[in-house]
Amino acid sequence: MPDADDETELEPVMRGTALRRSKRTSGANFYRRDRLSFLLLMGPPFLIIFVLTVVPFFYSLYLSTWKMNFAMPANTRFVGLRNFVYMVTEDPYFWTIIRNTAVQVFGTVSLQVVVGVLLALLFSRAVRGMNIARGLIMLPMMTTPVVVGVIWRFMVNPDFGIINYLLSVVGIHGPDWLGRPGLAMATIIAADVWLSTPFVTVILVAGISSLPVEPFEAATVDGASSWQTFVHVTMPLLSPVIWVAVMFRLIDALKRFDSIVIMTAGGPGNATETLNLFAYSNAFTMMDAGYGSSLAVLLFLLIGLVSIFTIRRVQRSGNA
Amino acid sequence: MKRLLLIVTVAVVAVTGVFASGKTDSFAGTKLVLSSLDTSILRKNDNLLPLLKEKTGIELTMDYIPESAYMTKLQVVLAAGSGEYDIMYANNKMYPVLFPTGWILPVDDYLKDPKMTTKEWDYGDFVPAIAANVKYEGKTMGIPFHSESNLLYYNKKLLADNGFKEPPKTVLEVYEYAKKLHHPEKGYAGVALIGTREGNVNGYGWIMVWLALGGSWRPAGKTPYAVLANPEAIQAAEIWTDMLKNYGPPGISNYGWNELYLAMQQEKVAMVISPTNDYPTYTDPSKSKIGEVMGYQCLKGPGDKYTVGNIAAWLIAKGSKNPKAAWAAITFLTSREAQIKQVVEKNSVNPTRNSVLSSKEFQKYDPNWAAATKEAFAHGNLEYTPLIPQGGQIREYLAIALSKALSGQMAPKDAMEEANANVVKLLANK
Repeated sequence: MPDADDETELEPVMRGTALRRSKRTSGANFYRRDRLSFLLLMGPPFLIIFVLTVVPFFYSLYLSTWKMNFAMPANTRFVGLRNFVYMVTEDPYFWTIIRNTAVQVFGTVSLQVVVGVLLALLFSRAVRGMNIARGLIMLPMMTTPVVVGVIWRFMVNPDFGIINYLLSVVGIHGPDWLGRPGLAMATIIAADVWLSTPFVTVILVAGISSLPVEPFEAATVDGASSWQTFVHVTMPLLSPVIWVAVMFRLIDALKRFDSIVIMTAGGPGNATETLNLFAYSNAFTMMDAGYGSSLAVLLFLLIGLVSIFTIRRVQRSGNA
Repeated sequence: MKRLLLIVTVAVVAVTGVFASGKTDSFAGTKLVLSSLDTSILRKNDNLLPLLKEKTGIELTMDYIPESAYMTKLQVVLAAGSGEYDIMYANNKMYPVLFPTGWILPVDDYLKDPKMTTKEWDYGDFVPAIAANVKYEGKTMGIPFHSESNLLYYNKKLLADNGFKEPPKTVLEVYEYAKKLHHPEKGYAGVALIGTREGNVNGYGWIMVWLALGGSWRPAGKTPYAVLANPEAIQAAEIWTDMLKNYGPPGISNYGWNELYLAMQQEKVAMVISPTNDYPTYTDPSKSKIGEVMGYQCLKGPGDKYTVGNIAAWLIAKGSKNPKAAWAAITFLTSREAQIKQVVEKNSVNPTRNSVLSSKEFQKYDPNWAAATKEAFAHGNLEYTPLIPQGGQIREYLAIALSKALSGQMAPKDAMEEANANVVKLLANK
């Protein structure tokens, strides 16, 4: 017969057995009872997302293997990978578009991260008035890219825009910001930085607030300067969060369309035409649905590669 | 007995239904949607909507779409067959794309049906050349409501201040005048045209210059449509580029219609080449400083067809769920009554009916503008834009070339040759 001591020793075993039995039973019950609720709640949204994203993507993939121009429907035919071959070997504009896309994406994202880190460090300080500053800095993030494009187009107008007016007050003759190829791209990048840096800042502020204090205390005790603390403590600890922000921003920058169309429509010439605009232009202005779809597939692959790369960096940074 | 009563009742109801449905002249409560380009002139069609409802019972909603997105939206909607639009705006540039697709309902049956079209409406009152422009393979595809050519609009005061007693008469003279009229230190430029690539509208201004230099999309003895590297095309590109770059206002490379209007209204430019129907915009006293000193000139060129001949029409979509109501709406919008109303209220300056063009109401417009417009129409080239399905793509290559030239990325000749090479490939379907 088990005595009181035996019961004490047996208790954890029995508790464990009972617990395991309870888990098996309750787990099964959970799935039996709530499978229907799960399907009802998750099913419709999943179905909608599937229909609106996966199905069009596969249709676009299918179209990319056809020569299909609405202006010449009689010439529609299956061409396999011919559109992709044409893209890289014969399209006179393709490599210019890729270069433009690279400049726009990397220029935008790198500036957003640099400015975002600086702003996040500033906003992490408990200084008077910082709440108001935080609120104001978030305003661009709440503006749609189309409106941002319109605002910037008016601001940089060489005739009546405010930027050239302010420059003229200090004796500088402002340039035609959207009329010169290099400047037009720089202006597009500036507008995107203005729009999207608050998003990076928000993520980084959240990241900074969750950093452990012990490494900073240790750095202080060891006599590290502010700069050394920033470089050797803050940035390494913050890098997973930075990579998350970079991932979101890279994907968004690759997809950027609206503000560019409003500001320059890809001009002057095709100096600011990026891959997304080029795909749109081929599909809807040139009416070449086949080639436009192949460009869209390429964009999808690029975004996929960027996502995989940055997710791996996030994981690596988190493990370090 | 009961069976007989039932049969008689059903027969009475059916016959009543037949007579009731024969009442096709009332569309009370019918809602239609019309798609149109978004321009200040076309928006003036809103003024006809209350009268349309009063006369026909039709409630017409206007969906205005910017030129840069118009054809894209239209093709997506028509290809889907959604019936989103009942009536659509289209012009010369769009006919070659829309007519062969089978998306447009020919209206010959409605024209011949006396119940659908009254004798008073009179299709024969439309200017024959204008009406003929909206036909395809012998079928009438729509009804023209707006005709457009191009004029030189100039500021008489600025010309006089610079010693000019007469306006320029040719494009080459405009080029020479622009050099002497360009005074940025005084706040105005010599000349302006559309410069933006958006919606390939910069090509429209180039075409006005090119036609006046003898350009043609189907030159005798040469490959049709692959003409962008021909001498007159390159000359037009060089003149267009130099005029805008060196004698145009700042920011010209992004000039759309609104910027062009503003520049002329605010006396920031001495001359613009612009459509005939922009006359009310340039002389609107609520916006324009220069209505009183505005001058008008039809620029001459070689041959007989050296100005733009742009005809816009209302078309019925095949997918419309109310084609008869759509026809009733179109017949009202293009009636003599409606066109006279628009003329009197200065909402339209380019009617398409002979009776309206020769009416006393139309003669009340500025006689100088009216005379210049009449001359421009007389030399209007209906093939001012490539009238083939690939026309839109050819205009896109042209727009990119002009934009590259204007921004200094390429010399005009090189840009036009690059564009022409793309056109040749396109026409060979490579």
